[in-house]
Amino acid sequence: MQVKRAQSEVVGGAIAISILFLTFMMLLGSVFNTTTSTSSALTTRSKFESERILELRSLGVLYRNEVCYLRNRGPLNVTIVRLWSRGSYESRIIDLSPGVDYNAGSVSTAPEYVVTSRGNVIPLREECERIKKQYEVPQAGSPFISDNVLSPRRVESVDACYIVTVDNVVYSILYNGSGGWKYWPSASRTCPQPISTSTSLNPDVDGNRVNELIVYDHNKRKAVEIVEKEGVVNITFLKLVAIPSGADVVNIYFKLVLSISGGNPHDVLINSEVILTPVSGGQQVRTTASSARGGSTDVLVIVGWATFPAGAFEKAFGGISSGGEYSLSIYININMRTGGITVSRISLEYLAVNGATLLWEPKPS
Amino acid sequence: MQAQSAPIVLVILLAAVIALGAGLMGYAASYSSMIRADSELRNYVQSEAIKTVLYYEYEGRSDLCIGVLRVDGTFGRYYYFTASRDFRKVSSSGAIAADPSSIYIIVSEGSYVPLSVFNSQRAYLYSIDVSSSIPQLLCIGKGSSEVIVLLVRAGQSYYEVGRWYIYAG
Repeated sequence: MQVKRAQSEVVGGAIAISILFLTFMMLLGSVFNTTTSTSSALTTRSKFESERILELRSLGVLYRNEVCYLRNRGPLNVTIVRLWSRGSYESRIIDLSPGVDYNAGSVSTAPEYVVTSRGNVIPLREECERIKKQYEVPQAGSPFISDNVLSPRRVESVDACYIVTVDNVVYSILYNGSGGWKYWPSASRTCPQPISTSTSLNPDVDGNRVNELIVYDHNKRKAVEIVEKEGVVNITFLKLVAIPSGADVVNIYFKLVLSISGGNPHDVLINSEVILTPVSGGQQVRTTASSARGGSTDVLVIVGWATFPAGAFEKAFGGISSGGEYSLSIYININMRTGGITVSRISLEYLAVNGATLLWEPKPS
Repeated sequence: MQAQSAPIVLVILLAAVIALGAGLMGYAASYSSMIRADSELRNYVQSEAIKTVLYYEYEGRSDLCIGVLRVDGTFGRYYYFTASRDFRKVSSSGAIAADPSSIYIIVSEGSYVPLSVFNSQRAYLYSIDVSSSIPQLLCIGKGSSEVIVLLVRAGQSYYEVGRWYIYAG
């Protein structure tokens, strides 16, 4: 047998390379297997998460004709698997194809939470209630929105300061508070202190046991009258409120009581406005007060409420929403349209402010 | 004489190469098997963790309900236990008693360590089956537990695949 030179090296080398190649492939196979399985799971999870987010974005809550709906606005099929109400759940399979609604009934009976097969939890009732509130018209009643500014302790506050005019003639405020009747002359350069008086009027014309602030003529020792004509009453509460910076809305509510006689039926037109004047000077803002009338034969009760959209004013004109101290005025135009009518007394029983802080500290009890 | 010795040398060299190669392959196969077993375990646990979704479903005054689902809709059996946040106190109620050295939890560095590092007491586990595309509900009383740990079983050991922290109030 003739062996050629270098033949053994070639054969040995080939065997060695084969062995190394097989070994390498064996190790590589292990690594590759691991990577492939993990990648597959990651792909599945990634797809699931995409669908889950899309499902959440697609589910919308609707409120129509007092019924709450969950609508599938997306391209995926959605399956509801559980409904939660009052701490317990009901397992139900409800398929929502694209564009299909789930009718959840009225807001009070709608499930609190709806759970989908992809693990999305929709707070259905809460969303319905939120949408329902957007449709609700504010109650057209008398909102009791803060303390009565005209409560005895605030009327007699050391900060109390009034300016009262009727047809631009300056008058006073009369009130039956602690220690009997007192009147506050209108402020001019300073805020005068109340003065006790022997004048005694009916403190509560409408008989609801709440004493009223009476527009008073101290020279004549009686309530100011408006006889058979148009009268303009302006009652200003100096430095009454502080509007916080960034306030959105300030609401003011008041109740006016007029004694009226003659010219039955009383044909009287009343227009009222509320005015906020910055104490430090600057632009005055005023708004018409919505009002409702009531009362008895000779007592005319007018309740009014005014809303100052402070945020909107700020955007349009600047000023009010940046906050500050304001005086509050109630402007009343009384127009007696038929003859023989007399407004024998003008009094204010209630004044409330919401959205601003009252600066008149109550008198210590 | 020289011409006769060459085939013998060739045979000897080939035999040596084959013997060394077989040894190397055997070692490589053994090493590969070891790596494969380790990587298969890691791969299994990782895949289970990836496939498992935990989500917050409902919370009452005294209980908390967590939803458990599998993204591929396949069957999966899970085990869980509740513990304090530092794992020094583990719930003593549960159907399955397990040695803490057989339970592996994930620490902040992302690696698995046996529960026995924190607690030498036996842990008691509950089991929960997730068998369809409907998420399974896992409700627990808020009580004194601060964390719930979801595990999968691999051989005689349990590995964490999910965790949920419980906040009082």
